[in-house]
Amino acid sequence: MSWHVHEDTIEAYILGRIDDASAFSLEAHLLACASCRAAISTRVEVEGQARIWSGIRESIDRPRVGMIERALIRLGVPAHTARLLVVTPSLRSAWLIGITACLAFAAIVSSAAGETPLPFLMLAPLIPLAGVAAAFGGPVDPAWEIGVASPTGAFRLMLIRAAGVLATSAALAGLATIASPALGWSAAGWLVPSLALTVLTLVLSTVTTSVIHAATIVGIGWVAGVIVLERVASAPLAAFGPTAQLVSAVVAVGSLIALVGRRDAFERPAHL
Amino acid sequence: MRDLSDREATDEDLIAALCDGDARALRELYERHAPWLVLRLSRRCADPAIVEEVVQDTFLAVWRGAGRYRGQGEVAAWIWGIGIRRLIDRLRRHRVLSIRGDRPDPEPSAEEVVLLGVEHGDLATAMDRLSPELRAVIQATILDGLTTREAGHLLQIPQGTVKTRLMRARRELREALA
Repeated sequence: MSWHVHEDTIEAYILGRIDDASAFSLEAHLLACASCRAAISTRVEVEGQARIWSGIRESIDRPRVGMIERALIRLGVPAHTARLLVVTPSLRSAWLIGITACLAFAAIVSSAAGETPLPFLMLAPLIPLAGVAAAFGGPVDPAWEIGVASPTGAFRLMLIRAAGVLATSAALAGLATIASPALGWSAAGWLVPSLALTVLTLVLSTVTTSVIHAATIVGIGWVAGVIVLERVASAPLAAFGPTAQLVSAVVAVGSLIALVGRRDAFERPAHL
Repeated sequence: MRDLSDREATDEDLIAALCDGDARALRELYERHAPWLVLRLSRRCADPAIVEEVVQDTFLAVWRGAGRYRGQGEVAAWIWGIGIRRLIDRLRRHRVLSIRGDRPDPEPSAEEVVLLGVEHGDLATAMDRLSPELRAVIQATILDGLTTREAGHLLQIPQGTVKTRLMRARRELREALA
């Protein structure tokens, strides 16, 4: 650009002693002319410039609070608990998408089979189980190191994250249940077993080397048990009948009591 | 990460570096654009604390939204567009203003009038003869590119008043430049 704003005009603009017409002309020109902008930059040491910059610097260094975290905080969850929940790997979007796909598949297979919702019922309780296992999966967990060094009691941390995972995956499995009316009410039969399996896994993890091992053992045991019961028992879906539900409930309560009893075991680094 | 040291990087280079998360590029953009932005915003808002806050918000928006710069037009104009709208938002948040569902003014022909004036008469003299209220409206709508509603928020007057003042300014300019 060949035309540039006169030095006096720039000076007058900086001091605020300029007529509007000249100011308009200068402002319009500035947007298109780097050298006139530079002329301003070298002339003014705008008051507060450094202060503004340090404010910007501080903001870009601060981690951004995500949508889910903000929603949790708005719902009354304390900020530090919300952060703990959000960094739980099994609550991340990739996991949730995977879970949704699994459930959709199981629901479709069960509906198509037209007889019993066995595949769905067998798979649904395993999902919170896998989620909880991954929440304490050591290397799987990006926040694992932080968790080890956290001043929060490991037991409390475990409960917070397990509750978050259970609630999310149960909600997803619940949606799948509602979304497949062909399965009928029997499709809700996985809820109590699911709770029992998850708590049992946590108890078992106090004696095994990791939560993942415990979850694998419990998961295999569950699948094997369901298949055997289905073969042996006279009625279909024996593993989800009234008696089985009662047994599941007893296991859940028993495991919960055992879990509280063994809470100290969670303070050992191996478990977080 | 682009190397910014070899030559004088253009604003567009710096924006590209921002997309890669280069905070040094933001610093450089800030050095180049903050001074005029502060001055220009200060002519539209008398409270230095608000201007500071708006400039800070603007550069944060540049940092986070660098990917939205489409490479069309000057980077400075893009930054100004963000800055002036942040200022309006900031002014709106702290004052109760009537919110009306009016559509944006469909006739921005004052611009044509002004451009016409550049060719046919002495614009500066004509501008100086306008009352400060009318000049402020011309500034907000034509120079700053705001809609009449946005101009109303900036100048703390109803949108209808912006429209009537704009009309009056246009008439007076036309007479002065004829």
